[in-house]
Amino acid sequence: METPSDLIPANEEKRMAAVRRYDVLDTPPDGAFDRVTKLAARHFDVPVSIVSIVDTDRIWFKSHHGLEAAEIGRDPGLCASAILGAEPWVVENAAVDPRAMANPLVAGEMGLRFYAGAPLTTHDGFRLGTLCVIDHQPREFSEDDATVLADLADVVMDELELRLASRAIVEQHLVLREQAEHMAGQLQASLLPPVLPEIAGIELASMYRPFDAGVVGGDFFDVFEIGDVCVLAVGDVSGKGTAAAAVTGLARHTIRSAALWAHCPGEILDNLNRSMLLGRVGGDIDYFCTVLVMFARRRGQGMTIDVASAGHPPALVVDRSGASSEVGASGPPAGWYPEAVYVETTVELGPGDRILLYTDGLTEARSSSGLVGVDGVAAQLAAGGTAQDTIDALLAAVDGTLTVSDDIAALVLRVQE
Amino acid sequence: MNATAASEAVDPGEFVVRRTDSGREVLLELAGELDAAGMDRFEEAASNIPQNALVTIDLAELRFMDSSGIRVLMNLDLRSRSEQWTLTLRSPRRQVLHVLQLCDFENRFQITP
Repeated sequence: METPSDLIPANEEKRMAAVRRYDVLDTPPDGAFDRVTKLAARHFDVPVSIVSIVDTDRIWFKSHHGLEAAEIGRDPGLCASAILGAEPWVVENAAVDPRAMANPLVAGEMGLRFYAGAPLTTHDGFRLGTLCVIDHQPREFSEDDATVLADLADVVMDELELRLASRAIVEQHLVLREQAEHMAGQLQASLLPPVLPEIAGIELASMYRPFDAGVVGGDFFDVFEIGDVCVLAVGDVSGKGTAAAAVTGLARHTIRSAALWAHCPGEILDNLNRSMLLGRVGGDIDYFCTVLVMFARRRGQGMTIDVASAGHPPALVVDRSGASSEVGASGPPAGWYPEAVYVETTVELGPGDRILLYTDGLTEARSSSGLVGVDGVAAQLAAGGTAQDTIDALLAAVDGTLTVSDDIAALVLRVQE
Repeated sequence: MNATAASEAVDPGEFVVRRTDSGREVLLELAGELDAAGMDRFEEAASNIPQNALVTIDLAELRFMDSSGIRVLMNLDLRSRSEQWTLTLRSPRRQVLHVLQLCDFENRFQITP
């Protein structure tokens, strides 16, 4: 049945927008509102008390003390009438009150005789519904009673306002979080090569998994070709967030520019160490960077790889048969000791051999039986395959059964057969 | 997965640091796993070292250390020079020794078995 036009407030369209803004319709029962209806019923000594919200074509009960129904049509009109004015709307004896005599709740089984409803008025003046009390007996309702009912209605409204405000905060937080993740993603992307270079005779594949998408990680990798040298670097800056990202940017670009003149990876690390120390003021050292740098050169069917390390975990070489060994070097983390020296080791790779450079987030991930460790990573790689297969196997493990607690960067080079 | 890893799973190894001062000697005993979560406790325990102190960091019960531990050790290394006390690392286990070796700490720190 259509709601009679005299029960529709003049500002109905805007009022309904307000009802939707509070987003309370069809929400589950809630102790805060139930306490108010219980209190109202007890105070006024009536069997029924309701917090109602007047929807387009129904009156929905947020709380209904002493009544089974969860909603009724808007057309019977008591709550619908109560929201037409700013003051409590009272029917002391419905049997003789012309405004309510014909109402089905009065004439029918319900046998309603007394109704008092105070509007739930928003801070901007829209009446969403009512707090009402109902009896099967006629009653008198004094001005003091009306004041108490209006005060209780204000308590209900305060609760609705509070919920709206807290939901707005949560939504705002989500938007900010999304923006932060977007910015972190963009900043992160600027610290990694957008695409891996195509280099004759070798395959390259990489992965990067930030531990927290909203925070820029301190891990980075880079790979590029200068003349006949393929330079690979993987590093981990202490700390996280934008401060670490700034150091990460410095590290990556320092490595790139040093690679233009350096004859070996040790010179690159030496340059990086001194560049990072240039920024120190008054001995206030609070960050450092572990890095593994490699120069890979073709030699016959295979490759010769020179490795230098600034406190970084060794690379893992996996040969065609699946056997693995660690290749690293010893050296202090970059950016701490001015007198640091970086020595190199050399390894020969044959056709089909792979070398994995990684950050410690990989080996420090945990499986059900404990830390993955280098042995656990080597076991993942024993199956063989291309560089991309190798990364896919690591990704499957990281996204699958492993519990990760740090950023992970990994770079694989495979000598083509 | 090797046996070491399996035993770590049985005991997650919360980081514990205990300091004992006796005369000039300061003993810091570390146990469990040292990562970012334990870094502040380690630094706190290692604060206020008197001049000329002989500081020993006992690593016998430390099962695991990541770069957070490296950071604290490098800070202590610098402090020991500027505050004039000596620092010795004692009895590192295999994993911890490996991390120290990667950072070339054998050439910077006094490490005793």
